[in-house]
Amino acid sequence: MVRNKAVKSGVKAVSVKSESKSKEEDTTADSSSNSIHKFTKEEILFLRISLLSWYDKNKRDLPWRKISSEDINQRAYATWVSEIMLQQTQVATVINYYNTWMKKWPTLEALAEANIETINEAWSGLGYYSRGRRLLEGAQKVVSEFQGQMPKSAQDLEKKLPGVGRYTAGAIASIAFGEVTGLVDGNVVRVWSRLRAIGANSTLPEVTDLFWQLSHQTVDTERPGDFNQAMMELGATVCTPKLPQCSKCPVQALCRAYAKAESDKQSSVRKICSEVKKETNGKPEIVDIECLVPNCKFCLPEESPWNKELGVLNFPRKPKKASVKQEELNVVVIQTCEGKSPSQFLICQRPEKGLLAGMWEFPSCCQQDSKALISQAICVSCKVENGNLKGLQEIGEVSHMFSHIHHLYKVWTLQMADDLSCKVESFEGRPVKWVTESELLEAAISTGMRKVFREFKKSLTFPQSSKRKRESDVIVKDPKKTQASISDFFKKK
Amino acid sequence: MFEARLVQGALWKKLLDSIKDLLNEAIFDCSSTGITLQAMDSSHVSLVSISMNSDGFDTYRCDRNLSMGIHLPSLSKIMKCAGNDDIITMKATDDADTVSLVFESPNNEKVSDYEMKLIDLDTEHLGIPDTEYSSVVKMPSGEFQRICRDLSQLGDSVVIACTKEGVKFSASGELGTGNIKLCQSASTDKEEEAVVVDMTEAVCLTFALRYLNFFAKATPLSAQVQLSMSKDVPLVVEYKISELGFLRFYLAPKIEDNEGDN
Repeated sequence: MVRNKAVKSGVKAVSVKSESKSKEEDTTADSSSNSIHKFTKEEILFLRISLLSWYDKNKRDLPWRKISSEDINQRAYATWVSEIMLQQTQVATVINYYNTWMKKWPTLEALAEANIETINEAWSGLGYYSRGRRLLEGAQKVVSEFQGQMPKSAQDLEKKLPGVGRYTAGAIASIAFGEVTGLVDGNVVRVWSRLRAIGANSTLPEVTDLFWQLSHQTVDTERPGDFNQAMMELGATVCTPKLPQCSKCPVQALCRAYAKAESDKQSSVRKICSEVKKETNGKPEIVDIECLVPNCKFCLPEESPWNKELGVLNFPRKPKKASVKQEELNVVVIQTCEGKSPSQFLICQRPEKGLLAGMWEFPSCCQQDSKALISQAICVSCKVENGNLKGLQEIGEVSHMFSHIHHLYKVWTLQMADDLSCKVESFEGRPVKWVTESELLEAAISTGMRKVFREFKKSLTFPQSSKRKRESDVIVKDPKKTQASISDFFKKK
Repeated sequence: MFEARLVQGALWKKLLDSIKDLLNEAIFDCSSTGITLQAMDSSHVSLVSISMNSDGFDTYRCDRNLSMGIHLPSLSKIMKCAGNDDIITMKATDDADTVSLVFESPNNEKVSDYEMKLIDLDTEHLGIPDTEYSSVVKMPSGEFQRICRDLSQLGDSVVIACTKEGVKFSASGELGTGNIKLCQSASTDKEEEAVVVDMTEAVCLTFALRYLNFFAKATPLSAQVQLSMSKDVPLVVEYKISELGFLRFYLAPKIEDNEGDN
């Protein structure tokens, strides 16, 4: 296997041949390698060596890094699954999902035969459910149209597979096929913008282009997959959004943000002991590295320049997020009567398109404040006679954040008599089913609905709870966090 | 059987007074080596760590390890019933759901005993790593209390900058800015009145004054306070509890807003 060979030969494998290979080097290295936002050839060599040797020592042991199959398609499939799952999702969350997935559908062929319902179940809780669907569609396409052979280059991957964008294509191509191609994700953006003091809005097209350029230019020619993973690993474990561990960074010497922060610190120390400074009477020892390009489109914008207190965290800059839409919903956990055991819960399926497409949820209605109105709305949606619902009770509130919308669920509970429950055939015209608790937990329901169900369970057991939780512990998660928490530093024993 | 007798009962009173506003409830872990307590405040920004050595007590006995969940405002109330010169003895049986406190006046003319209900708490101990702090400042505790109180007039947070020459506390807010600079004292007769800076690397850190003011309530415990700081780790504010041990407060630093991804 290609990657292993490279690992064995270790640091020496870092190659200088890059000029001929890397796609965009000629446009950058020569003409403007003196730009502070780019790397010189020497710096690139240093970056590769330091980063790869750091990665070899410090990489996390993750299931998708242990794929040893000789079959190139198998390797590509595993990488594909892991990369799709890792989009917008933390590694710790993905590990279990990945292992379950690979056990359920060990190969592309196995996945292609799966149906969307089981995919949604397996994806339940991961979020961004269209990813699972696209993965299925992709697998079906590879099996039916390409005779089970994965496209072999980043370009083809991006073009031919649904749900595979520029990043995922680069990841699969470099990790599974050893293609010399760089990649850019959120981690890489952060690393690049700090290393090269790129303070412009990181979502602008020309800035994105620069990130891709840097990635293509620096990627190691012998171990592209490892280099790309090392970059992301660095961003995920060392060069983190908050509290980066600069002292552990293997490429600190190349970091312009770090240099600037350090020189700030020294000058502020000098300010405090101003008397001493007068005696030594020297020029400042550290000269700030400044970009010489007038109106440089990659530097920190003039209207919000370097902020001393932020230090390295000055980079990267992102546009202010538009305020997230709020939506309030009354969610009703409808249960069969107590006499019947085990009791069953009514769930309905979401529409085929839109948010959480095809997932199952508890019935809900919006903007009704009174019990009577909610009860009525439920009756209408279920197409049962009004007035037969009793015991509607509010039990709590749960909130769930999606990337673009903030849902506030008011949780209600309701018991439905048998003669009525068997009549419910649809909810707002959508399919419904009655499930037991264990079936519910297995079903394709979203994290928000799991929270609702947990709230429901809590309301049942609350009076008997023996251990007293510290009720006063209300940890306010301020969206603009300004205060670190003790648990960021000290971990549970 | 657990029994700890302390002739200087006032130490218990002062100790409870220092933490009762920051913590609502906490577990006293008693073992043969002494009593320890570790708890975070309700916002999880600061952590209190108390260690009292069995040798420091006048008599001490603990046959089996014991965890006593205590509602601190209640214990503080009971401690207020003790006189400043009283000898305080704390007792509990191995499987008790109460703890008893006996207060003896110095001439043994008056003996009061109180029994308090224990509460059932979930324990959650955090591992505090050993850290070589790059700056350690020793200063009079009264001075520290004064600085925190004064700077609270100006802003919510204080920047503590520490160099070889001394330590500077700064705050700023809508009404203006304030800086208080303490120089290393060259010579003072009394050790606890000195300002001593022991540092390997200059540091400059920002903390919420609200919590420092809570910590400063421990001032009556000890004439001297020790601040230990390193970049990007919590500040440690330590008060010695006479010969008994120490009371340490850990405070997570402030961070500036930066949107994270992934």
